Amino acid sequence: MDYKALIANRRSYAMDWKARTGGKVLGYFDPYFPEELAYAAGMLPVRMMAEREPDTLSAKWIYSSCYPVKAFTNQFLLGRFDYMDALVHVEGCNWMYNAFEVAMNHDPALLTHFLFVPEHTDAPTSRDVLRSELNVFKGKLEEWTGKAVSVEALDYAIEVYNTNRKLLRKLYELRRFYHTPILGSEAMGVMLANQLMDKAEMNLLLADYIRELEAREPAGDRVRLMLLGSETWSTDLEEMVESLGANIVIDDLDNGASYCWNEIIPLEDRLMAIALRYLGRPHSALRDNNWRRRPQRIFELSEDFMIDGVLIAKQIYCHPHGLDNYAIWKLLRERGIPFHYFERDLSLPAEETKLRLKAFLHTIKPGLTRLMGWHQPLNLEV
Amino acid sequence: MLTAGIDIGVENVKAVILKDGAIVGRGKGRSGGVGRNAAAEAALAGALQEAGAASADLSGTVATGKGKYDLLFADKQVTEATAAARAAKHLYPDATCVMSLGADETLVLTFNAKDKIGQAVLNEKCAAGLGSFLRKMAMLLELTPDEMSALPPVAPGGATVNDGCVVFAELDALSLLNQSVSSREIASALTDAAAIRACTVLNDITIPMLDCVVLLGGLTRNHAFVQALQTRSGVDFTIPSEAEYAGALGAALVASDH
Amino acid sequence: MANKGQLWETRPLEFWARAKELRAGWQQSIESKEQVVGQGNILAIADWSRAFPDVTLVEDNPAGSMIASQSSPFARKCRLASEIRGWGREICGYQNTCWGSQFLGYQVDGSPFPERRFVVPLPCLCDQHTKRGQQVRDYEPVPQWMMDQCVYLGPRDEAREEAMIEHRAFSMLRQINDIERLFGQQFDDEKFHDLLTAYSLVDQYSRDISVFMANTKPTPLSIKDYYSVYTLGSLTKIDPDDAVNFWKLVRDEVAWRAENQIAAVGNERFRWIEAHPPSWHFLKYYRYMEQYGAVCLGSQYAHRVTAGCLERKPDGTLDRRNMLYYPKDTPLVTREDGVRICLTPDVRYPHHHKMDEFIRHHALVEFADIFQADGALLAGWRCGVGCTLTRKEQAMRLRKAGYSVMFYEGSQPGDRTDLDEKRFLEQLDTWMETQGLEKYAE
Repeated sequence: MDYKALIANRRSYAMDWKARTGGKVLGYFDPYFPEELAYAAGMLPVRMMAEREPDTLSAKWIYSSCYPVKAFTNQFLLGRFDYMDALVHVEGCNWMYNAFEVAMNHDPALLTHFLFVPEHTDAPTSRDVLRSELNVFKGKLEEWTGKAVSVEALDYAIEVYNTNRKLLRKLYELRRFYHTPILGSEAMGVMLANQLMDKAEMNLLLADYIRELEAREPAGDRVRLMLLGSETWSTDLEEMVESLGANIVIDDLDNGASYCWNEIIPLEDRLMAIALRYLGRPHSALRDNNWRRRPQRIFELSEDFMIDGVLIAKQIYCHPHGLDNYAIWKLLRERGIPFHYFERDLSLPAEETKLRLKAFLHTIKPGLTRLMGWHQPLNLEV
Repeated sequence: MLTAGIDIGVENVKAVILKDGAIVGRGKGRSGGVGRNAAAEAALAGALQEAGAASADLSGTVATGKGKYDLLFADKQVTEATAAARAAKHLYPDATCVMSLGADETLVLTFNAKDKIGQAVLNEKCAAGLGSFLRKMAMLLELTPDEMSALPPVAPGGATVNDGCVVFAELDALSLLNQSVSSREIASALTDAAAIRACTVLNDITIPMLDCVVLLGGLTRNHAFVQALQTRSGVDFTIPSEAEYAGALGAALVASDH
Repeated sequence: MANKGQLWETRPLEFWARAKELRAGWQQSIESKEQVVGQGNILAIADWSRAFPDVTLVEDNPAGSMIASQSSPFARKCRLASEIRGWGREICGYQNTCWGSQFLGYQVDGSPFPERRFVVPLPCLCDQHTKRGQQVRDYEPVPQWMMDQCVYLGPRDEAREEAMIEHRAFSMLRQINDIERLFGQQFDDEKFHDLLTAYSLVDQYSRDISVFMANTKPTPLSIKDYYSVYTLGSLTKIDPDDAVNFWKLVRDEVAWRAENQIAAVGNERFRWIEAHPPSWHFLKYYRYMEQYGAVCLGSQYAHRVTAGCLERKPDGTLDRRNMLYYPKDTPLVTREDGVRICLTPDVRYPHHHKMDEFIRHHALVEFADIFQADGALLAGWRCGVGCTLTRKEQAMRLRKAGYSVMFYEGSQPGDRTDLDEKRFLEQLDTWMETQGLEKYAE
C-alpha cells in the first residue's frame, strides 16, 4: 500500500470522494469522535493532520505553545482544509478546542458541532449522557445532510468500522511476531492513511496489504521498541528508529493502537452500542481520569509485544501527556523497562534526535525476549 | 535648542543630538552589563563631538531602550514605543504603521486619526531576541554581518529550519551543518525563519494599516532579513537612513518637547 | 512628571480587620489533626463538605500559589521534586507546586505536608483540573471521586441538559454516600439545606459588590483589595454564618463608599479589566498601575467566583445572568433536591468564567462594557491552558470594539518560574504611554 501517496493526496482524495458520492467531508481531531455516526449519515469523517509550514498567522488568533494546535490553526487560516464542509470538536484537549473555535469563527460557512464526551467515563450515568450527546449529534447530522440516519445505515457503518478495526488489529498482530514482516513506519503510515479515507474503500486496501505482508519475508533481528506520548502525524521518528537497526512494534498512541483496539458490540440500541465502545476504548491521557488504566495497559502491551525498551515522544507543551508521565515512568522504572523520554515538535531535529536514540539503544539489552523463546511466530487466522 | 536622545538597547547604545528637528550628531557603542551608563556617556560624547557641541549646551536628555533606567544623567525616560512612534512620524508624517526590530524586541504600532498610537503589539517571548539570535548564528557559521546581509533568499526546495523556536532552529542548523550543507544556505534558512517569527508580530495587529509601514531598528541593516520579511509579509517597507538611530531620535524629539 | 493627581477622596477599608480574623481561623482549621482532610476542589454553589461533622477540604489552587508567593526557592524545589518524577514542565503551577510539596513531605514552613484522606478533583472545563486528583491517589491509595463539568455550545437544549445534570448529580450523591460509608460520618441534610440558603445570601451580597464596582466611578473597591477577601466562604472554607455576616459587612461598606464617592484609588482616571487570575506572587503590578491612575476592576474569573457573571437587563440595570435551577421551583426537601440545586447552574447557567468565553464570543467585550473599562490587560499563561483559552480572539474583539489591549506572559498564575517581572512592568509602561498617560510623581 502506498500510504505515503494516500497521505500526501488526502485533499484530492476527499475532493474526489465528494464528487463521486455527493457527500460532505467532516473533519475532527479528537480520538473520541464517533466516526460511525457521521459515516452512517453519508459523510466522510477525516482526521485532521497537523503539518508544519511557515506560520505567520496563528499567533494572531491563538496563544498556544502546542505546535500541532498552532499548525492546525495556521492550516485553517491558509485554507488547507477547504475541502472540509464540517468540523466537530469533542470535549477534550483545551488547546484543540481553541483551534476549533478559531476555525468556527474564521469560517462562518463551516458546519460545526461541539460534542460532549464525559471525562468521567466510568459512572453508570456516563453512558446515558454520552448516548444523549450522540442523539443530539445525530440530529445535527440529519440537519446538515437533509436526511434521516436510518437503523440500516447505522448497522452498515458499524459493520464497516468494526471490519476496519479487525483488519488494523491484524496488522498489529503481525507486529507481535518476533521477526515481524512489517516496520513501524509502515504500520504508522497505514494508520494515518486509514484515518483519512472512506473505511469501506480502505478495508479493501487493508485486506490486500495484509495478504501481501503475510507473504513477505520477515525482517531480521531488530531491537523492539514501544512508542508512547503525544499523537503523531508523520512517520519520521519511526523511520529514524529503523535507520538505527531498531523497530517500533507497538504503541499506545491515540491515533495508533488505541484507535482500533476495541470494537462495537452490537446492541438493539445502536447509539448506546456506540457510546459503550468509546467509553470502553483504551483511554487517552485526558480520559484516563478516574482510574489509572494506561500504565496497566502499557505494561500488558510491553509483555505481549516483547519489547526491549520504550520511547516516549511528547510534543512540547502537550499537557495531557505531561500529566501521565508520572504514572508511566513510575511503572517503567518499577518493572525495569528501559525508556527514553524526549520532547519534540512537528519537526524532528535530525542529528540531535539520532544521537539520543543511539545512546538509548546502546543502553538496552535487546534480544532478551528471543532468548526466552517467545519469538516463534503464531499462526493467526482471522 | 540642542537636545539629546539615547537608546540603550540590549546590544548597542546609540545617541543622537538634535537641533531644530535635524540630526546634527550621532554616536554609537556596545551596550550591556553594568557598564551601560559609561557606554551611554561615550556614545553621547561621540555624538556631541560630531555636532561640535558640549554637554552643557544640551537643554534636555531623554533615554529609551531596555537600559533606559540605567542611565544616570537622563532627565526623563520614555518607552521604546513612544520613541519609535515619534521618530517615524517625524521622518514620515504619512506613516500609518511602525515596525521596530531590535536585538531583543519586535514592536509594531499603528497610528490613529489623531496621529497618536492606536494599537501597540509586542513580540511574544518565544519571538524575542531575533536580532541577537541571527548574530549568534552568524558567529556559529563563521559569517560576517556583511555576508549575512548579502545572503540570497531561500531557494525553492532548499534547506529550511524550524521557524517556531530558536532552540530547535539552532538544532536544525547544526544538523544541516553535519550534513555538509553550506553555511550560506543554512544562514539563508535561519534568516527566513527569523523573518517568519517577526512577521507574526506584524500580523498580530487587529486592524492592519499597511499604507506606509516604517521599518526601524538595528535589524534593518541586514538586507537579507529585510528582503525575507518583505517576501513573507507582502509589505513594502519604508526604511529611513536613520533606521538604526530611530529610538535615539525619538527620545531626542521627546526631549525637545520639554 | 505631573503631580500626584488626587481626584477623589479615599479611605482605608474597615472590613479588613474581620477578614484577617477569618483568614487566621481558616489556617487553623486546615492544620487541625482531628479532621478528615481531603484534597478537594468544589465548584458548586455551596461547599457541601461542611454538612459532614468532621471533614475539611483543602484546595490545591491556593496551596500551590501560596507556596510560590511565600518562597521562590521552596517553590523551585517543589517544582523540581515534581518534574523529576515525570510531571511535565507545562503542568499548571497550582498543581506542580502543591504536589511537589507532597513529594518533599513538608510545607514551606517546614511542617509536615498534611495527610490527604481522599481526593475530589475539580470538575472543570480546564482539562488540567480534571486530572488533578490523580497525583494524590498515585501518591498513596486514597479514595477519589470524579465528576464531569458538562458543557455544550449552541442554543439551549433542555433534554441535553437533563442528561448532564443527572450525570453530575449521580456523581455527587455517590461522593456523599461513599464518604459516609468510608469515614463513618453522617451527612447532615438539614445543615446542607441551610448551607445552600446561606450561600445564596453570600451570592446576593457579592453580586451587589460587583454591581457597585461596575456602576460607580470612581470604583469603591479595586480588585487588588477584593482579591484579599474574595475566597472567604468559597475556596477558603469558613463557617457559613460567618461567611454571610462577613459578606454583608463588605457589601454595606462598599455601598456606603459608592454612595459617598469614596474611591479605592484616589487618582482613578483609567479603568481596566483582566480575564483570569493574576500572577498571585506578583500582585504589585496593581499598585504599579495606580501610579498612572489606572485601576483594575477585575475579571470574569474574580466576579464569577463570588457573584456570577453580570449582564445588563432590558431595563438598564445590572444583574446576574439568568440561572438555571433544576427542577425549577422545587422545594428543598431531599438530599437530591439540594444536590441538583447545587450543581445545576454549572451545567450551563450562569456561565462559568471559562465557559462564558467558550460559549459566547463577545463575553469579554460585554464585561469591559459593563465595568466601564478603558482597556484590558490579558495574560498568556504558557502552562495554564484553561486560563488562556480563546484569549487572542477575545483581544481581537476587544480591539475592534475600541478597547486598548496589552498582553503579558508567564507560566501560570501560581507559578513564578516564567514571569519576567521587569519585562512585564515595561510592557505596562508601554501600554500606559500609548494611552497618553504618564506616571504621577511619588
